[in-house]
This record gives sequence, C-alpha cells and structure tokens, in this order.
Amino acid sequence: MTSTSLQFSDLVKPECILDNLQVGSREEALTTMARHLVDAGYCHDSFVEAILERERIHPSGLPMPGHKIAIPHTDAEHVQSSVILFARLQNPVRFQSMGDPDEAIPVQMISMFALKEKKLIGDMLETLITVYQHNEVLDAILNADGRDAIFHLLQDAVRTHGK
Amino acid sequence: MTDTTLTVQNDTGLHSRPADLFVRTAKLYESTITVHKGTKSADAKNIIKVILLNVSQGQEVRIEADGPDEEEALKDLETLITSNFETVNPQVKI
Repeated sequence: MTSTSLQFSDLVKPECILDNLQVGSREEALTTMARHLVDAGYCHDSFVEAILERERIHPSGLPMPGHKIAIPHTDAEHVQSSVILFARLQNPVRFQSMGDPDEAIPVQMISMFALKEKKLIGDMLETLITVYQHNEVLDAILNADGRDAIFHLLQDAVRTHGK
Repeated sequence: MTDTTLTVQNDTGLHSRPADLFVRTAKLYESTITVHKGTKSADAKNIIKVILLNVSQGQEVRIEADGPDEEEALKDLETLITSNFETVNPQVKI
C-alpha cells in the first residue's frame, strides 16, 4: 500500500490506544504519548521534544462545541511510520486553544498524529473532526469499557460519519 | 467588501502551524473574514471551520473581508500566505 492511499481507519490500531492515562499536565500527557510512539517504533527519538516544542509555540487544543479535544502533531521528519495515537485521560488536563492561545480548555481525549506523508494531515483532520462533531461519538468513547471498545467505536464512527 | 484570490503553496496546506497563524492573524481584525474554497466557505476566525475547509498545497482560496479594516486584513493575510507563512504580523505572538 502506498502512503497516499492510506485511509484514516488504516491509522487506528488497538495498540495505539492508551486507556485511562493518568497524567497531571499537558506536558506529561504529550511526553507519555510521544514516548509510546518512539518505543513502538513509529517515531524517531526526536519526536518527543518536537511534539513538546510545537505545542508550546502552536497549541493544539480544539474548542469543539461539546467535549474538547487536542490534536498534537509535528513535522514528518520525526516519524518513521504513520499512525494516530489516541489517549483517553483519567482526568482532563488543560490545553491552550489552536488559533487562540489565550483560551485554555479541559481535554480528556487526545489524538496524536504521527504522519510521515505531510499531505495526509488535511484529510485525517477533516475525518477526525467530522466524526467528533457528533458529540455522541465522544460521549461513547469517554464512557467505553476499555481499549478494544474504544477501537471499535472509532472504526464504527469513521464508517458512519467519516468522509 | 473586498476580496483576493490566492494559491496556498506550502506543503501542509492550511493546516497545522499555518492554520493556527492564519486564524490568529484574522482575529486581529474587526472585519468579517470568510475563506472560500470552491463552493465551501469558512469563517476565517474559527479554527475548526478553517481545518474542515481542508485546503491543501496548490489549492486556490478566495478570501473576502467586510468591515472597517478590510483592506489591512486582506493585505496581512495575503502576505502570510504568499510568504508561505513565514512573514507573520508581529502582533501574533509566537
């Protein structure tokens, strides 16, 4: 499969869903998630610092009408193989909002994009946000019973609501 | 009302860092600013709408501004896009 034919659902993998992650801050959440991607072989070591640095300059919280989300990502050069890492936090942490760093929002669901092909970002974000705009999808994910349940909810939601 | 049509040249399109800079620049102005791509359009001050417009490299957008500072707003956004998001209004603190 070539990278240009990758679909959102190809990038969602059970081993890349962190359930009930216990963290006390945005930095701790991002560091834990980025390390997971490095340890699993999806990203180079440099990905961890690149994610933290990008978040400081261009925050990634998205003030959705219902549950708020964050979509951290960084440059393709730090990525070995494309994937999206999802984390459901046990307790929300505060993210600054993309497009308005003066606004801070509580985020419980983080989708970290590790994309080797730069052009993928537009379609992947469009799919994710389109799906998450259905507040019942995020409701179900936040209340799901474990990692596999979250995986199936994501796949079903993309099939139903994705483009 | 005034408008301009431009092609987005940078490799991530109007996403990621460019989307953040674009929205933050638009928010400096009082005018209503709308980005059009084909038949779709988005409020330039709404980050979610701008991402959903899904402008990728090489695509053309028409930016329309309406209000007391429409000329300055368009000039600023045009500079941002034509500089591949390198020339940023200093009021956007990064």
